[in-house]
Amino acid sequence: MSGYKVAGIASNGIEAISIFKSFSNKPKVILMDQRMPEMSGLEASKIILQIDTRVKIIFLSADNSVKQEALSIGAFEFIDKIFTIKELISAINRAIESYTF
Amino acid sequence: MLFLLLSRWKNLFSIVLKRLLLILVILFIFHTVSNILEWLYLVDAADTYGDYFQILIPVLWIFFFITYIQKITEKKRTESEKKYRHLFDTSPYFVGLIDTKGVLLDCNDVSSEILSIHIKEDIIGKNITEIFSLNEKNKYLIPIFEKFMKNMFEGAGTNQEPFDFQLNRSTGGYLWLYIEGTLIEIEKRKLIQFIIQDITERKKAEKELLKSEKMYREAYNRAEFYKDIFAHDINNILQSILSGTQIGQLPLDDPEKFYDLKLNAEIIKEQVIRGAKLVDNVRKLSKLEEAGESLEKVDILTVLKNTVSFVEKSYKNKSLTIRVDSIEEKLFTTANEFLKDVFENLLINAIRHNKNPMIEITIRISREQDLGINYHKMELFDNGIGVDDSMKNKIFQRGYNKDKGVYGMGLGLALVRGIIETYNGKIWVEDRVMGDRSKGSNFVLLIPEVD
Repeated sequence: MSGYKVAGIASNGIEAISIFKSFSNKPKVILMDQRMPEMSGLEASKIILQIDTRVKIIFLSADNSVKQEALSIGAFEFIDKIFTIKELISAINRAIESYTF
Repeated sequence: MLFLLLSRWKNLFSIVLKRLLLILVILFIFHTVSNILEWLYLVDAADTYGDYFQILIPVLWIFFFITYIQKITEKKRTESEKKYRHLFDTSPYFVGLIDTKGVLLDCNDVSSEILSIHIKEDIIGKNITEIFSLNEKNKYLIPIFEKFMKNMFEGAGTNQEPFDFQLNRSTGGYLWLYIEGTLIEIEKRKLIQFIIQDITERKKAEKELLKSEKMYREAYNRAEFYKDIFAHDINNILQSILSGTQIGQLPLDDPEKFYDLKLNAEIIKEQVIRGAKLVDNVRKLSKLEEAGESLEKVDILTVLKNTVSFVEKSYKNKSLTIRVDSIEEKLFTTANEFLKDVFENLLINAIRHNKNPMIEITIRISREQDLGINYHKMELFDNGIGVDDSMKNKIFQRGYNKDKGVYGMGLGLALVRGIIETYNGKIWVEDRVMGDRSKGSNFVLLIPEVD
């Protein structure tokens, strides 16, 4: 609806890494939850950023105790739940604008 | 007072009298010897008696003086002994002396109270092995005290580390006691002087304090847990509802764009149900934690079949087959209203975590014995996504593991385990096909049998 395409959906951190690796043309933005089964958003983000430092990870979480840590490992933004679609789209736009090819 | 005075003088008089008698005996011997000597023409008789008196008088004075000093010294010694004996006898603690063979040489009257004996003379002169053997339940103390004595008598220092021990009473119950020992030497003989203190009240207070601390910690953890649920889980649910309503409004703004409003409404409805379920689970967990939900005799099969029927109706839109295999018509246990929650949670989990077009669930019921207890064994096989080995324990834990950053599969399975444990049952998960989680799971329940 905002012109962006959803490249993939993962149900946990391990799946997220696997799906990210499978793309030859890597996605520019990842919307990451923190609390997930098998591997958390923080752990998955550390590994994904090692694979591709350019990707913009936007944390969307109801657990804002990890906000500082997420930003320190290289997350682009941390949005507390509850957020509106408008806020989400704005964050994605900011991430795309700052993406370096 | 007069009696005491007379008594003292009587003692002194008797000692003096004894001394005089001794002197007279010596005089008599002296006289006899001098007579013999005179008879042998060795000395002159008249001069001899004068000489005797000149020698005897100073000797008499010396005797009296020595006697007086002895008496004073003895008196002081007796008074000192009395003083320390008084301290020993009136001590509020059980005080005693043991020799190298473990024989109790002396103790005070507190011993009779602590050891539940008639008088202390019942144990004085007895070995500690005999003393502890008076009560069968105290025999375990014999090697402990033997080691204690060995360390005292053979150890480098004169003192051994004090310790607590439990003494069972012949009248029932027990005392907690604290013993300290000191190695002493009396007349070149090594002895252990011990002091035993009754610390039963202190131990009770410590136990109450620990219990109180535990309750506080549990209450604090519960408060943190529920706080976390409301901060996190409810927010997630509300986020889904908000996003759903916002997405639902979009076609209203731009009717040319087509959205499946019905699907959106379903998502919102599901989130509301999820929220209600969360609140319900929290309420039930909270109720489980309160003292005693009463249990009664229940037919497991009836509850299971009713729950299966309810779940099938709730998931009419899914291709779902639930089969119950049981050779028995009735299976009894002691349970309560939450038993249906156990089955409901397990069945709904099996349906939700399944990506197959056809969902198959088989519940096989058999019997098993474990550590002498008879159980009904219920195995719930599904063809779902399975559970990774690393998660097989974690899924039953409550909520979020902050250290691992891993989130359990919600409150449902924590509730299920909590309920089963109140029935003294067990639950765990295996792979439906051993070693291949992709083929689905097998949730195993053991619920105690009742006639």
